[in-house]
Amino acid sequence: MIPLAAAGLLLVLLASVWLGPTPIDPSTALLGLIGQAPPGTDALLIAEVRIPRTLVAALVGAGMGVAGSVMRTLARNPLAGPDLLGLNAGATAALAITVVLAPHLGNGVLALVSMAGGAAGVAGVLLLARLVPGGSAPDRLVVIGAAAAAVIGSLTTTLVYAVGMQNDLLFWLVGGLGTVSRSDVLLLAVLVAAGLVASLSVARDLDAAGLGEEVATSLGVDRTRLRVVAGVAVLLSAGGALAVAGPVPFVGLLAPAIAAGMGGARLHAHLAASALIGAFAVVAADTAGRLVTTPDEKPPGLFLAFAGGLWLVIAVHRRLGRGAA
Amino acid sequence: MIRTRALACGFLIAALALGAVAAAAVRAAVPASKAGGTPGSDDRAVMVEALPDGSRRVAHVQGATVVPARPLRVASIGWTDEVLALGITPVAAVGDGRRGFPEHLAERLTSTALVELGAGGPDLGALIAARPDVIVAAWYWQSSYERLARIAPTVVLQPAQQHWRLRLRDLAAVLDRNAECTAALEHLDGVLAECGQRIRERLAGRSIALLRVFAREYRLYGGKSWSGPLLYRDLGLREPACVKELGGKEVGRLSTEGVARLDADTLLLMTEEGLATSFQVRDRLRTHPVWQAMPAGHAGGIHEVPDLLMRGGILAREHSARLLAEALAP
Repeated sequence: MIPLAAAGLLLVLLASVWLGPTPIDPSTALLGLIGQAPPGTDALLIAEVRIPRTLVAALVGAGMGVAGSVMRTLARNPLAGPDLLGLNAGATAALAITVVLAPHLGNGVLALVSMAGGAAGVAGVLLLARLVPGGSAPDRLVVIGAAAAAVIGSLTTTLVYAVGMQNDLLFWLVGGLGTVSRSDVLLLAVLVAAGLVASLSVARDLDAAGLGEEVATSLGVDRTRLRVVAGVAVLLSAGGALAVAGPVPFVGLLAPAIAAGMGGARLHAHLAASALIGAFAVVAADTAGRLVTTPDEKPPGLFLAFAGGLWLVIAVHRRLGRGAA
Repeated sequence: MIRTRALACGFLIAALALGAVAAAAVRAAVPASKAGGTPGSDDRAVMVEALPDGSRRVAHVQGATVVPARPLRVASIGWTDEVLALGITPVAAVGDGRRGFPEHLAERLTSTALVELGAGGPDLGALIAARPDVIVAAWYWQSSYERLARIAPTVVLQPAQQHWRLRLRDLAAVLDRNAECTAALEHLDGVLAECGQRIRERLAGRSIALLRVFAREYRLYGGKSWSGPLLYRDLGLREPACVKELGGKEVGRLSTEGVARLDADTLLLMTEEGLATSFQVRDRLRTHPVWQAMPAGHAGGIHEVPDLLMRGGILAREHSARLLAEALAP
């Protein structure tokens, strides 16, 4: 399954460098990839705009995929991704508030803000789950999470309209990759790699935890350490992505689910597949967003939300169907 | 399970039925609300009928209103620029968000009461205190019409980007200032012709476009935006292909690649006043390699302009034209 996901990702990566509002010759695009395109506007576009943007899209998707995988494994709940546990909503709200208070901050600081907001969002949902009787049960937890995400999201929307900065804050409602630069590639590469390494370092314990608390305890898993490291891994992977790209809906839910559906019980393989599928999804959605209308672009979140919502309906249908049988 | 299905079917039928009713209601309401044929909307002039006592009955978007002859105490909700251009200093006027009166009008409004705009509409207390003879209101505030009309005769007009000359004549008809209107338009046409010629001579057929920088996107303004008619019609400057490509759209939201494709020889760059991000993005854009690759970038054809160009109004147009002439043909 990993070779398949990798091949798919490679294809959309190439397409993303090749396709866009400016028509570029496929051979120029290929040469541009190795820095050998004939000098000119096309070469410049490939090197300075398309490649950085494609890499950022891939890193954003991979980060969300890894974060989603770790979250659902730790929670032993296939729906417990960044979307339904308050991470995305918390991070986005924190980012929007920060941009109002300190509009000049760079993406590095915003990544930290995003992690703090995401952590607060998840903490809020987990706390709420404790207060509600039986709130930690898998199905109830995601309902509580979805409700909390809706409330936090409405706060963000209110803020956008209340402060009269709609033009600048709209980004935090829809997201987009139109103005990313080379420095964003570096920032995300570091954060996502750190998140992946942290996830892999506890992959074995996560595997055990996925089998249930008793099994994990009998295998000598240090649960506190596991939670802390896994939490840090999630925030590193998703925090930077959300700070650079704005809301990235459903990738953290969809990528791990598809990876799980493709088989492979070991978390190492699952993490890798989830990262590849997440990257595939965001690169494909961003490329599509560049092609549907010119010179206007559509944010990738548009396509991701559509696909993700559709999948969620199917997943719930299947789950309930299985429950009834 | 069967119950759920029946329920779903019920909802579906209800949705279809209600949808049909709603669609019919929308069809019935569109001519009125979009005011396609209503006086004072789009390209339709208000209808003014003289009454025997010298006052006039004005048919406008919200109905008919009797306005006294040559009113002196005028309150403006969204028409301050035009009212000033007609030679009237309003007794009360709404400001510009949180910034008070617009900068280009402020010095002529020292004796005018500032009316705050809240979420529920204009501050009625300030309006009452100003004791206006007539209130002219922009269509955005039509929801406050009933309350405004209790304070003074109120005429509502829809702002018109393309038909702003017609709208000025409407206001003049409402306020009984037809001679002043003709003089104001002649004066403006003189300024536009003079500035236009000055700029055209300097640009010598080179094209021009307006790009606005936001925190995470760039916007290119089309021929039908507020600034488009000023640049391409009033000043007679050449529209580049990238602007024509927008077609009927007011604005195109561009990515960095979109900026790289701008084929305008001259680019007017607008930043958000007082917003640090905007300057930051501008600086980042200016150091980006694609900047140098644009026709305007390597020809030194980039000029920064204030957001005055985005404003409607007669005085704003005059100021903008003079400002552009200063910047492009010093």
